[in-house]
Amino acid sequence: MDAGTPIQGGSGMNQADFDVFFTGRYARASRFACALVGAADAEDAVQDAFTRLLLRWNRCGDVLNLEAYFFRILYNICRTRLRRRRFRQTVLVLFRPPAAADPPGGEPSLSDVWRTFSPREQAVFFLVDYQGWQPEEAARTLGMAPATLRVHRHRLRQKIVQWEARP
Amino acid sequence: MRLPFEEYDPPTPPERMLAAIRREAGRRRRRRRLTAGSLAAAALVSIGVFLFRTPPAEPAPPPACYPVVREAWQDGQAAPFTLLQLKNGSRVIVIMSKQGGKS
Repeated sequence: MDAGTPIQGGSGMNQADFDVFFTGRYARASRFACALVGAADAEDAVQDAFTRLLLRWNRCGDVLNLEAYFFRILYNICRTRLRRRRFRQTVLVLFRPPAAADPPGGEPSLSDVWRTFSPREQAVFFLVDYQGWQPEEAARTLGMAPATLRVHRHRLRQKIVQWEARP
Repeated sequence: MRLPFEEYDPPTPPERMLAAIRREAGRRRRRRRLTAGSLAAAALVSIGVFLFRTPPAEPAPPPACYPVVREAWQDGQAAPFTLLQLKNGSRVIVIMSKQGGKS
């Protein structure tokens, strides 16, 4: 089986299929995780997601779209990590002196703008605008209504347009 | 427009990551089995303890109750009496009869 071909769920899910699935999605999943949690945590999130998938691999026979299933796992893991990180930052900020403000005149880079996107917006952008998934499929993967996905895409576009139109 | 994640390449090669995933999955499976086994063993022990528990202690016998003898009558007259305690612990009333026997 080619590494890039989509694997549909079936009764004969063996370990070789998992290897093929992993090889075809490793880089893409890493970029997805990097887009959501940053490069420092991306590898751990990807490893965790693939481990969870491997543990359920024998029961994945009824899953219609394994790729969407896997990205849902990864998305949930990334959101959990972000939530924990936010909690840590919220708690730690109580014991830290306030950081010095950024010097004025600094131009925001795209990475800065990217950080202003919510995790949902980042995931929507990655799957639909970057990977070219169908919006309905992406909405199902991310567990949101198609209308919600459209709203997120609209807000995303507005933020990017504002960034591009900066003086 | 260059996206921040576009140039990201995972530093770990896929083969090493796959091996790490398999190791981690094995570790989690073992831990899961260990947890399930521990729970099953605890349930079995609880059932065993319940089934083979020691029977409750016999209720203590009620305190011995003896009639209080105030007086003894024989042929319509009060007769002298005495209380005797036997070796088995029971007590008897002994009335001296006019015929000289014991009743």
